[in-house]
Formats: sequence, C-alpha cells, structure tokens
Amino acid sequence: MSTEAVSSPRLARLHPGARKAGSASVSRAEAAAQARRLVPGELLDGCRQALQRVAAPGVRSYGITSSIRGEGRTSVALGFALVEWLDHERRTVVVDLDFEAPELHRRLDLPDSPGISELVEGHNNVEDFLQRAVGDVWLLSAGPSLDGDAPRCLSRLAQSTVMSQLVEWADTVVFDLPPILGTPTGLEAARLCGTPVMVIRAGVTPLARIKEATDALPAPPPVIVNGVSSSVPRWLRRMMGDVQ
Amino acid sequence: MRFLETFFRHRIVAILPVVLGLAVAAGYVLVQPRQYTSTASLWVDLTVPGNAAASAAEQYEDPSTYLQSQIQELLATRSFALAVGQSGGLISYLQDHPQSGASGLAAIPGLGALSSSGSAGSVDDRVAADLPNMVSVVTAGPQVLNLVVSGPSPQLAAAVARALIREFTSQVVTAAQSDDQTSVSYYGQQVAQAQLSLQQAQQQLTEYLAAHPKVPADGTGDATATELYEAVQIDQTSYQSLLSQYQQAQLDLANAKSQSGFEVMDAPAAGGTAVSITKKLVEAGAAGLLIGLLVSALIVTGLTWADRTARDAADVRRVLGLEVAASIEQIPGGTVTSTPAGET
Repeated sequence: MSTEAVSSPRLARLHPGARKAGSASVSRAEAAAQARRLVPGELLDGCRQALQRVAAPGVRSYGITSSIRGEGRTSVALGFALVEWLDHERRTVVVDLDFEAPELHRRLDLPDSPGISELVEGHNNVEDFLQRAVGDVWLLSAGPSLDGDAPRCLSRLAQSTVMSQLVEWADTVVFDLPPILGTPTGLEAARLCGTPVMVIRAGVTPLARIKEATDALPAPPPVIVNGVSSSVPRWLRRMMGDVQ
Repeated sequence: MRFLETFFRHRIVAILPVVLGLAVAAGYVLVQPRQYTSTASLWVDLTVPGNAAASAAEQYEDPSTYLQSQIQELLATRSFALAVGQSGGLISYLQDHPQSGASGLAAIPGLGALSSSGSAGSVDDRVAADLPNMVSVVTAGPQVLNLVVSGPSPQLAAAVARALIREFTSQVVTAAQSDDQTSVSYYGQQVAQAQLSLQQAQQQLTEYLAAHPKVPADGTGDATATELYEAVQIDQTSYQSLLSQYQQAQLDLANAKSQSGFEVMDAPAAGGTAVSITKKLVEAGAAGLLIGLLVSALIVTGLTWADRTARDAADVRRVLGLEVAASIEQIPGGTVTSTPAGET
C-alpha cells in the first residue's frame, strides 16, 4: 500500500504521527483510482445512496452491522469510508471492531498490528495506531487476535478516550461492527457508535433473525439490502411486470 | 414472482424431477418386451335390451357400445379370461416362456419378484390379470366394433383374438339358449293350460246344445248358450295366441346357435403389426414429464413456503417495517449493480 503526499488542503491537518505505510508519492487522482479498485463501483453507488439517506447534520460516525456473519458488512463499511473521502474529501477512519474475526486489514492489504487491542492497553494517541489505506482513508485495525477477550477489550475501549480522539481527529468514522447475533460484543459495539446501519443479505438471512437483531438495538436501524439480484431472467420479469 | 425466484435459484433441484421422470419413463418403455397387435372387426346387429323405442333416433345406446360393454365385463371375469387363454394358447405359451410374458415392473431386471404381475404367481393368475390389459375393445361406429389384441408374437395375438371371438360367441349363444329354453318351457305350460280350458268350454257348450236342440249353435236367442259360446271364443283366441308364442320360442331356440348378434367382418390375421415403440415412448414420456412437473412444482412450492428470508427491500419494509437506505444487487464479486431503495 503506497502512501501519498496529496495536495489536498485537508491533508495539511494530518497529525505528524500518522503512520505511513510507504514512501512513494501519488497524486489524488491515482489515489482515487486505487480506492475505486478496492471495491466495485456499483457498491460505491449503493453506499452513496445509503449515505444520502442516513446522513444528517452532526452525524460523523456510522456503525455497519448485521444480524449474522457473511452479509457483506465489511464491504459496506469500506464503501462508506471511500465514498466519504472520494465524494466529500473527508478524512475518514474505518475502524475494525470485529475482534473475533477482523477482516478489514486483509481487504486493504495491511498488517493487523498496531490495532485497538494494543491501543487500549495504555494511554496512547490514536494517531500512532492508524494506517493509511488509500488517499485520506485510514484504518484502525482490531489488532492481534484476542483469544476470546473481545468483551474486555471493547469494555476498555468504551472507557478510554479513543472514541473521542477519533471523532476529533477525523471528519468521519466508520465502524465495521461484529454481527449482533452470535457474537458476545455485537450489541455492545453497536451501542458505541453513533448511527448503526444494518446490512441484510437477501435470500440468506431469515426474517426472524433480522427482527431479533433489530429488536435488540435501541432504535430500528436503516438497512442496506445486499444481494437483491433476481435469478429470474429479465425477459420473464418484464413479462410478469416486475421490471420496467 | 417469489415462486419463480425459488425455481430459478434452485433450478437444478427443480429440473431434476422432470429429467428423472423422462428418463424413468423412457427406460420403462425400453425394457418392456416387444408387442404385436392383431385386430378383428365385428358387425353388430342385435336388439339392445331396453331399446324398444319407436325410432333409432330415440335409442340411447348403440349396439356396438352394448357389445363392447359385454365383452369388457366378461374379460374382467377369471373364468372367461382362462377360457380365452386356454383356447388361444396363451396359457401354454406362458408355461413354455415363463419370463417372456413379464411386462410392466416385472420386465425390469430385479423387480420381477416385487411385481404382482410377475412370474411369482401361477400362469392362471397371470392370464387372468394380464388378458384384460392385452385386449382393447373400441367402437368404430354404431354397428362396428374393433377388437385389438396385443401379444408377444403376431401369431399369439391373432390366436388370442380368435379365441376371444369364439369364447364370446359361445357365451352369448349359451345365454340365449338358456333364455329360449325357459321361454319354450313357459309357453309350453301356458299352451297346455289354454288347450284344457278351451276343451272344457267346448264340452260345456256341446252338452248344453244337446240338451236344448232348438237352440242354434252360436246360442242366438238363448242367454246361457250365448255365454257358453262366447267363453269358447275367448279361450280359442287365447289358445291361438299362446300357441303362436310357443312356436316362436321353439323357433328361437332352434336358431339360437346362429343368433350371436354379430358377424366377423375382418377376422384376426396372424401377420399382426408390431406396436410402435416411438408411440409408446411419446406416451410414457408425456406421463413422465407430467409426473416430473408435478413433483417439481411440489418441491418448489415447499421451498418457497419454507423460505423465511428477506428477498428484497419490499420484504424488509413490509415484514419488519425497517427503512431501506439502499439495495445492492450483489457483493462481493460478480456483477454488482445498485438500485435506488425505492425501486426494488
């Protein structure tokens, strides 16, 4: 992953301690091209539409969650972060709070360390633990494996100043949360972040499980439905009046 | 639409029963022994009981239809089937070729013992069970009836067809003779009684006329003589009528052997034609296809019913009442197309 000395005015605010994964300089256009290669453009479009709907004045953080694993949560979290930077030039940190199965660093081809599990062990600055993903998108990874100590780590995170540091340092923070059901930290993690957004994989997640997950949240979250592509041929759907 | 979605999502599971149905049907036909048919045409000329209407237009059953039902009824009886089997050589053929008569499931290797029509039963049982399936009785018109007999060889099919006609004729004649014999006996008794009654009336009239010589023979002018004369006339009429019926019954009995009610127009020939395997394949294929489609529909219906997942944004809104911010066709990989939340 290459780093850049982008001529964006926002980058002037970069904390000097921000970790840089490389030394080669790239233009903003090149960084944007890199960003678009990370996720399909159509996914970015979906995230863009979702952000237009869920964005509100003062909202600076989004928590992407789901009922169960395998619903496309990490992809959407990454999409949100990239859209925030590509469209609005916002410095964005994408935070991997899925301590049990961290995935974001792999998607971004970055090491899992340093990460939150190390950050919460002492009085450290968040900036020292960030890794540049692309452009002005930064990763705060979950850190090395916690061996079942995820609840304690999350609890320490909640008690620390990490969250406030993140909000202060970045324009937007996107959390890749663990799923609500089947993980010990899913619900607690969702409560930590400002605006939870739930990803539902069509044709996979049972409605009862979705309801169970959404009922556990303080308020019904907005939803991104993933995998709605129809298996029925288009001509047949047209004949049935299902498509224009 | 949800049903179609399930079908296309599980297209292999949905199509498999149809493919299996066709394959099983084709296999079933191909393992069946070769069949030959022999056809006979009968001209039916009989009076159908209950068809005493004034004109043919008012008749409710054609003679050929009546005969068809009679043959089919008889074919369902064991004694008639055995008589035909014996006379037509089917029984001896099956004794000589114990496996060749196997058809249906019994023709499938390994399934013979499981089938009731297999070689496990006696030859008589097999004949009684299989003969009705070997014979098709088809009306070609009001007066013409076709008998189509299938068999493992053209000679056997023709022999069974001839035996069928022969045994049916025998049954019809025997039944007619029995009826006619009953009529003869009945009218014979009636004629004897009428004759006795006539003789008594004539004797009374004769005695009265002898005692009263002035009274004319027809009793004119004498009330008693007139009454006796009229009694003689009535008994005479009754006697003549019964005698006529008695003679008709005797005539019917004498002619019963030649009154089967039909004539053989085209006798069954030994050069029967082989049953077309293509036609059988098409018929069995259609049946297999139908059954496969039915099973497929049941499977897809079951899968649709059991599917409790959210299929699209509309499901999420309707069932869960959640706000859908966006719909994404598929992530990750593949063709990914997002659509506005309101359009799904």
